[in-house]
Amino acid sequence: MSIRYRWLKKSYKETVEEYDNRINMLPPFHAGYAYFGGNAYDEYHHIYGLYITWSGELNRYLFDPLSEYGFVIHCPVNEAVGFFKQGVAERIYVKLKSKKGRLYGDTFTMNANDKEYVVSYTGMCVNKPEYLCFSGMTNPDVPDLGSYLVSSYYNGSFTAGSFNLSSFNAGTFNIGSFNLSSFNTGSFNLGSYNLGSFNLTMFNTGSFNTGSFILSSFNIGSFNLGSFNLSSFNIGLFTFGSYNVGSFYLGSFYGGLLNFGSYLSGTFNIGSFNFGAFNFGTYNISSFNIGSFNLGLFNTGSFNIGSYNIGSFNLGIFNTGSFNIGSYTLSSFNMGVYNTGSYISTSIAGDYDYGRLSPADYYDLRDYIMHEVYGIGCLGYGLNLI
Amino acid sequence: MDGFYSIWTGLFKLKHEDTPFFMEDYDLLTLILSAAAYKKNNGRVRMYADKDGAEYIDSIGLKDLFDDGIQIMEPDEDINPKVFWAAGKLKSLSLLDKPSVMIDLDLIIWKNLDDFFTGADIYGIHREQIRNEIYPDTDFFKVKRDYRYPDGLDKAELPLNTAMLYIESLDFTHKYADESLRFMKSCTEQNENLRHMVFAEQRLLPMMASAEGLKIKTMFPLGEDIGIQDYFTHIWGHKNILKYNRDERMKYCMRVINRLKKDFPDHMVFVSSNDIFREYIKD
Repeated sequence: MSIRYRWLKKSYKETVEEYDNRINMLPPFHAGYAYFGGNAYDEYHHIYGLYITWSGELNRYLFDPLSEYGFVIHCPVNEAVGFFKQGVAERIYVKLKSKKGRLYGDTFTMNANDKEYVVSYTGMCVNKPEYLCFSGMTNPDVPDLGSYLVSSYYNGSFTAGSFNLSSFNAGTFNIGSFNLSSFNTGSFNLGSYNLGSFNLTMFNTGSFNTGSFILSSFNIGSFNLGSFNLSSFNIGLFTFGSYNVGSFYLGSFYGGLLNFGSYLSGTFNIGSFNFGAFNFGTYNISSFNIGSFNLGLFNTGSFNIGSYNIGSFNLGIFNTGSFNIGSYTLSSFNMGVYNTGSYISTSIAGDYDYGRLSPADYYDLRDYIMHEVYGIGCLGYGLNLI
Repeated sequence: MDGFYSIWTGLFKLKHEDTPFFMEDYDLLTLILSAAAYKKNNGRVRMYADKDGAEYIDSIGLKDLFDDGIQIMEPDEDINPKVFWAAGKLKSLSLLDKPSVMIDLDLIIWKNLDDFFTGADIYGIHREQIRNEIYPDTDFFKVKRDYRYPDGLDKAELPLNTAMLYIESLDFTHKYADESLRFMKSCTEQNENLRHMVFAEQRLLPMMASAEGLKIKTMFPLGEDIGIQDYFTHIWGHKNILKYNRDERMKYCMRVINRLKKDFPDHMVFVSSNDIFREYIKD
């Protein structure tokens, strides 16, 4: 675990009052990244709903951990378009407050366009932006946020060439339950949205232990990783040698496209099915899709998919902890036509013009789920009577 | 009609092992205003609380807010507070010694309800739609093998929101509460914290009532029908805004304090003398 925020701990020499005073005098500091989704701007009220990835380590110190949903900024349309089109996250700064030794996020700001935006919580529900992605820690300008790190992306299709990792962490790199000791040099494309080429010029295992799988040799061509053990891995057509995945099992498999069998002997996919880069922990699919099904990048906890969707179905990228697509939560999204799977609704924003911002479009049941399940939201009535 | 509130610290203690139970300033102010308004318009109030909750209320000097004092209640240890975070309400109902209005801590009732509490057996603010994502069928719930649902449950009966609940029959109150607690004790679920809870509290009640031919009356048909009205304030999900939005929290607390000053000045003695509200009290 990172020790970046070790200074947030109360020293044994400090009284509670001294600790409160120390914390309350701290200036704001960088604690997260805000992402700007295509359908998260309310053009009538000039409010942009943010999706924020907070430092996991910081959140562990807070008495009320910060939610990734619910925060907004006020900005005019031209600035909103700029945020959306720039395709990169903006830093969020937090001023902490301590009350009797309990830490809270007090105020939040964002600096962009040569000015400071107040980031306030209104409970506005947005979809996780489609371009959320992950990269390594080689860029010295990108600080260590503790549990995870997100970086920029390239608008357009996630095809080879448009999203390159030139390197990916030298040294230890911890996300949740696994360690990457070294990784690729050369071009390395992550992302599961696109069936395109996905090249590793080299994939160094060395001590590439991801906990639930070990790669001994590797493919040139298209392939997708999941949580499994590969003993050999072929160019072009995927043929595996022994393929023991612990919690799941390969049933069939096609050249160019990668189809996994059902992990728990359920039924599954016709079409293409790509995993994102890393899935760790238990991984159950009980029934499955007709069409394309892309998983996001990282799931470092349990990852359950129940029965679902006909059509395209894309998961977002980064989930640490349990990630259930059961009957009530779907936190992901799509490029193009937006299907939320079969649990909640058929669509939220309908056809989505990638180049155009749409007014925020809430789905009342999803809002209810977000409010009641995730505890964020703005439900309440009669507040005016006070 | 007398009313009661309940505090169960089970979930708090699960989430914050090392922190003594406490309530945030906006929660306390809402409770004070709620109790003050209820006492003015309706009747006496009592608090049901577990030991830690009762000690906290007493320690901050709020015990006298409740005319009928604080009665200790403790849900069974085998009820999972993560899943059944509102079990304290059902335990309190099971201990009632007279028909009383159950009031959520974040609900304020601004008017006398005597006229509303006529013509039926059970009263609430609104019903809720049966959506499978929130109110799934009973085969969704993880229960012990020997658990049997009560007979005669009408699954078409709409759930009843229990932010405010009044049941005329004490016998039925106990029957419903005991059945709900039995369901909770029979559940093997460890994590899902919405559907199991709302079934036990809000869906089981109208189904059991229907089986016994009891009539339910609500102020509004559904939650979405609550438009402009002057009976209730329910903070509900707005609490999360108060939690994360400092400006809104300050505004809200000041509004409550100003309302107390204006209409319930007796309660300002507690507010103005308590360190919890120091940042809101100016000389």
